[in-house]
Amino acid sequence: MTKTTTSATQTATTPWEPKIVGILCYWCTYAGADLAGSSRLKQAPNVRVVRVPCSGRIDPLFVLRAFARGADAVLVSGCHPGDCHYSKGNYYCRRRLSVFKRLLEFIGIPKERFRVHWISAAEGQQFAQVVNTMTEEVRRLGPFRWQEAAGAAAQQGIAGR
Amino acid sequence: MEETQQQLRETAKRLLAEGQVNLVIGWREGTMRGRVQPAFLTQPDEAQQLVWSPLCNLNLAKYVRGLPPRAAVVVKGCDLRAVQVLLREHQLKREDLYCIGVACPGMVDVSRLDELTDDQLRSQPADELLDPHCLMCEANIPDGADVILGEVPRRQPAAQDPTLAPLLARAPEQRLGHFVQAWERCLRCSACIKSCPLCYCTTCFAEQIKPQWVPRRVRIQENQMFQLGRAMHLAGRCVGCGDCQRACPVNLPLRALNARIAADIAELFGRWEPTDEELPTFLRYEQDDTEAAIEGAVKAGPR
Repeated sequence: MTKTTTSATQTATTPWEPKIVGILCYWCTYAGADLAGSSRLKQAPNVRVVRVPCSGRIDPLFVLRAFARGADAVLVSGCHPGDCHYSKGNYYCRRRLSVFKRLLEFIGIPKERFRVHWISAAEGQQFAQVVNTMTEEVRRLGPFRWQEAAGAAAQQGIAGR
Repeated sequence: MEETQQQLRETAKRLLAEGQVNLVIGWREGTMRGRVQPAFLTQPDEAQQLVWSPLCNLNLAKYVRGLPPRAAVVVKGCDLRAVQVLLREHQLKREDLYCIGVACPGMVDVSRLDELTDDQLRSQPADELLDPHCLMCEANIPDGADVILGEVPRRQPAAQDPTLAPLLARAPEQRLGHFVQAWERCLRCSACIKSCPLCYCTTCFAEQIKPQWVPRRVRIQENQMFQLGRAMHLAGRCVGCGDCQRACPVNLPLRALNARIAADIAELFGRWEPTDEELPTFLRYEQDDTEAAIEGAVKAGPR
């Protein structure tokens, strides 16, 4: 009996695949993703999409919860500045996620694991490109495992004060 | 600091005796060496319990919400800043609070209590004994208080942040290991929340059930959500008083997160003072805000 599994458990027959959570704004990037699909562009299947009405809706807790629940990386994408369906949601997103991204980098999460893009509804090609690039980068980095991060530090003799 | 302590007692006594306020919130000697307690005085002759020393690190702004008018609170620079943020967030009215400012020479680093002599716990601290929060202080004189007691020189923050500099010198994997090892100690006891004047949500996101952001498990997955989520909720609001760091029973690197966010905000959007006309940092935006976080912003065609 063959089975495909998306859970964290692996069998010998299901090698690890990057799990990327994509939090996409409905009016731009989600539509762009849809365009990529209808254009039959070749895309890696590793992105799980969460649709939000606007990138301004995105609470940093969404990203943190994705990492808590086993995501290897998170992609956020919304409308280009000036093109927000709600006029200014993406401006607030830009401020908030700029600081949040810096915070994640400061604590040592590789920057490839959290990306913010602007992708419009017409940019199906760009969406496919981002998905493929990000999947490959995360595949190179390997799975994101919190407990292992501490273990690696312990091996290097670094105590967490 | 002895003289200022006397002025403080006289001010509190007068305010209560004249009926200008019906409550004075200050510090009194604590039950253990190296500690103070908050004091809630209602009678003029209780004013002699007040103390002012380099141990008076508690941020009394914690107690100013929900008081019947009119109350007085003793505030250092950071404490007053917390009151000002609360005022901006409509948590109280300015006329309901009398701020007794004390010019602050800095608080002693109580994590080194065992090394400090009794005399060092009473007198103005030398720089090398200062709490790291005080080393980076930009507002040790509580400008805007109703009265300012004591005279100390205005502080300039140290050139290098003593918490951030060593961390930034390390490679990202080492930093991640440092934080993850630390956060595995987190008990989710909420001492940091309870001590922080700006953490006043009736239901903290960490306690919320609908939706349950943070599952009721104490392990790194949930702890990192709590730590980073709380830091982001204080972004732009934290006044750097250090109460959270001192309250933490397992000595987590709380200052590192708050200081990093404050430094990033200052760099990207300019430091916001609660007395500024402009809205707080994340309640406003500029058209030309930095795009540096937007990686390889892929654009189709000319814009």
